[in-house]
Amino acid sequence: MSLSLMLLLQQRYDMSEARTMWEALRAWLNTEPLPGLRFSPGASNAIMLVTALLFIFLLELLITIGLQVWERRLMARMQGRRGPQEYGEVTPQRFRRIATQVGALIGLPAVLYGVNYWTGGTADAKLFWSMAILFLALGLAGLLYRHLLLPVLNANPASGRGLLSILKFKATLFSLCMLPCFAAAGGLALAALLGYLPKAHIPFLPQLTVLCTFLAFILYMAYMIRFYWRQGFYDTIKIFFKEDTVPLNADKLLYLIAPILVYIPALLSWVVIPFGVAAIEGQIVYYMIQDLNVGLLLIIADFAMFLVAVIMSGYASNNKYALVGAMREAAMLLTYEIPMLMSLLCVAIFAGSLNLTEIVQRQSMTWGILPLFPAFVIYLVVSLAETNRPPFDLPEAQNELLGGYLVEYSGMRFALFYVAEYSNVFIVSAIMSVCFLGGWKGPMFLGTDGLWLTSLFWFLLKTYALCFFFIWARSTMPRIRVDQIMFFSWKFLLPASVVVMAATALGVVNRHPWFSANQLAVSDVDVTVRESVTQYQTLTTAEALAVMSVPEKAFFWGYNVLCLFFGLFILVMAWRILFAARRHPQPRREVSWSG
Amino acid sequence: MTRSSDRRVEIRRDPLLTEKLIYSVGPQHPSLPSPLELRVQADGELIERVTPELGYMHRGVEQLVTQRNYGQAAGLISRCEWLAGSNADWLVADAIERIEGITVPARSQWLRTLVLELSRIGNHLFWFGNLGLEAGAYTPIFIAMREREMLLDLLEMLSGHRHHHGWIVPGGVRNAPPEDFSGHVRAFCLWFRGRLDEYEDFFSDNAIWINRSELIGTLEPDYAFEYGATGPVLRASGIAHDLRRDQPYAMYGELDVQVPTGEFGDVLDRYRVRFLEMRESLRIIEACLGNIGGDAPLRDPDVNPDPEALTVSRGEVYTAVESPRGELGLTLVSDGTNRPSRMHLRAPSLYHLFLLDELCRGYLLADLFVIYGSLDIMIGEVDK
Repeated sequence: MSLSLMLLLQQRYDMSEARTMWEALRAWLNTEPLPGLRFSPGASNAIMLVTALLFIFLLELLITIGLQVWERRLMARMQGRRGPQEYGEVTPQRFRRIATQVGALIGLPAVLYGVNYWTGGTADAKLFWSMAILFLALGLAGLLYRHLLLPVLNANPASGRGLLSILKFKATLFSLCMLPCFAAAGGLALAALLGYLPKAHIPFLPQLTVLCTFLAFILYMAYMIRFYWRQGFYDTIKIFFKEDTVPLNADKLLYLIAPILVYIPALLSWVVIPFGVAAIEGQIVYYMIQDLNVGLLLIIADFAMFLVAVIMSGYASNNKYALVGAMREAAMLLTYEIPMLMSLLCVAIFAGSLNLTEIVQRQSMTWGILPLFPAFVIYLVVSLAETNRPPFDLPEAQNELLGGYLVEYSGMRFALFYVAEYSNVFIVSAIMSVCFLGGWKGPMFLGTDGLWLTSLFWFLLKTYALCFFFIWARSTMPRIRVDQIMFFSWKFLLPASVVVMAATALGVVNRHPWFSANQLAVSDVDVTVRESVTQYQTLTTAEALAVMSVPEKAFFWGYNVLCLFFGLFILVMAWRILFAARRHPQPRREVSWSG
Repeated sequence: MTRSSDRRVEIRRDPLLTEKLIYSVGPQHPSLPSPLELRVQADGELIERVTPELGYMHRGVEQLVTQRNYGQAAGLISRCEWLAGSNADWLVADAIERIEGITVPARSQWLRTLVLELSRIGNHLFWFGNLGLEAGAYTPIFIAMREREMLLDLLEMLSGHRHHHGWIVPGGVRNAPPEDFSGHVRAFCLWFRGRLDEYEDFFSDNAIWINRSELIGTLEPDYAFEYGATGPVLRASGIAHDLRRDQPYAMYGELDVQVPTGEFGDVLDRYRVRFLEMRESLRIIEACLGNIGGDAPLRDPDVNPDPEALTVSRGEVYTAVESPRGELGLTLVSDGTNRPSRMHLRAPSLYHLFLLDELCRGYLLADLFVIYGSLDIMIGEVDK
């Protein structure tokens, strides 16, 4: 069966047209990677499968541990806790040292690249020298700030507030930038001295970049593992060695396979997430395992499968708490799948594709969050429920159900649930950034050569910003009750999502300029993508407004009112959270003083 | 909103004769900080009956104290009330003073009032954090413990102990406060008033919290009266009853104690009443601070300064204090020796615990924990 699967894969994918890193690697394997070393197609396929699985597994484990440790530290910070998590071994001196080292390593090639790119290769020695002097001056200023001003400010207790604190911040910033500035000045002066300047192409720059980035990455990872993630790794190792218990009278088969069934969809979803894009020999290659045409569908299916496996585990545990947790999960499954589908369908309709890379490419001019704002809000709420995160963590409610469906699991099986949960947080955030925030799109400040780095940077920035939202919600909200979730979803989210989807579909089908305006298929930087069908006019929003007919304009404003409603909703919530409560003490209802 | 409208679901008769689910919540459960078992009979998640099972922490304190001298007895009684132990100390001291007819110097009375109010704030802070946990919010426990730590430091500075102070002794208080004590307390009041605003910003107006607590676990005033509820639980139901105002003890007679009352007697009212009480305690503490200085004597010189060597003449007395949870009363029967003949503690938590069945019927399982948290039950009082 596996042989036939490989043959199928063989026929399905043309080796010459590698669209993803995985396929590029396969193409490389097929072209005699080492002298005399040749793989049969079957062998290369097998190697690729194993590589992909290992890659996903390790990446997921790493990101899960990182996310979990980050959550711990962030929540400690949000809750004003002081303790080992706060102080730990992460001293300001150590942080400063690693920041300067990594900054210097990244900064040197980045500055060279930047100059090379912005001057279009026409820079002369004068410009380089002046920039070198500028960086030297900045570095010297940092030196002065660090050794003359900062000790004085640190010794002064009044520097915690007022104008002095601004000075202190500036001094800290300058002293942090000191080493990168010196490195940049040195690099620029070196480049100027070597006389490479007038040329557009600085020799060995790609090699230098790779070397520097590799060193910076190694340094950073060593630092993170040594000081930040240590506890996470210890926990992971410890949980491997714990006893795997099965409760008496449990449905043993279901009980044992449920964690695996929870873990598999969490693993599968990583196949289609586009982390970024690179330009290799004039061709665009995506950072992903497989560029599926139905990527979005796969993700949705994975979530449904995850929930079913959770229900299975709750049922099989033969425990009342687990059973109640599973029942809650079943209710939430029915409740939240539909609004989630509707809001993701809006994206699919808008982009005209279920392919995640195409969805991103369609957001070249404007991110999807602008035309699809209501869908974004709905998905943001629903994603919290999808991943069982607070305030929707009813199925595993720690204080009520002792962990719900998790209550009987221990050891590695518990860890599988745990990894799946955190990996789902990352996947949901990634899907949100792909569908609504433009995926890897952003100012590509390193040019075509640096596309692989900048795209990754933007993607991870957006995704982790959304992960931050998940952690923030956890430390802020109490848990919602199960019937309140049902009411909220069936009475508000479901009708709202249907209306939003209908509006989007109408607008797209009628070629409404509000939706077609932003459909300019622009490729990344100056690399040509494969031809994609653009069925819409390429207008900016203002131009589109000018050419609209009266009914179109009516639709446009109606849709904007819908957007406005959701925008107001968000604003009011933010206002309530940030400012409204300042009026205390002021009881909302009658609590009388009878003295 | 009328008084009788709450969000209770009607428990209907079951034509299918399905089996009822009986959850055994506790004695080990993250929502129950002390050992107690609640047998919850439910139809799915809909609660039909809650039966508290006691005895997991029974220590026989009332028997033990009859074999100890008065100093040791006060320590044991204080172990029933570990979040605000000074209340128990005050009870024992006051009972002895009543039998012996001892008058306590005014400065000591002011100091006692101060310490009682400080422990009230400490207890309410613990309650707030715990209630947050029961509602599924992870942050209140940490921010409340942050301030409670400062408060325990103050009490440690005063008495040398963090929980069971043993500082209120028959005839007065054990030792004078350190010189900079009132300055520290004043600084704490200033700081804590700001923090109270922060709690309210953070939690009180949270829409989810309002939904979780509004009209949940409503307690009618006549029910509250019949079940013997006291303290914030009774006041939240609309009955302004406070021993500090109605039977002034210590120096409360000199102070104009304001009594906050609720309207519906639901979880939200109990929550708000306790928050207003914390503000009121702050006001009382600041009023006390002006009277605790000076060189006035702290104790009647006729009374034996060592409570362990104290002999109490024959007599019987009941005395009560408005503890953070309600009316905490002590009956003392003495037979002229240095040991009490009988001591009985009237614990408010016991009465509130048996309200639980009445309050939880017709609500969901998730509400049980919020209602339990809002009653502020301490098992040390229930299982003596």
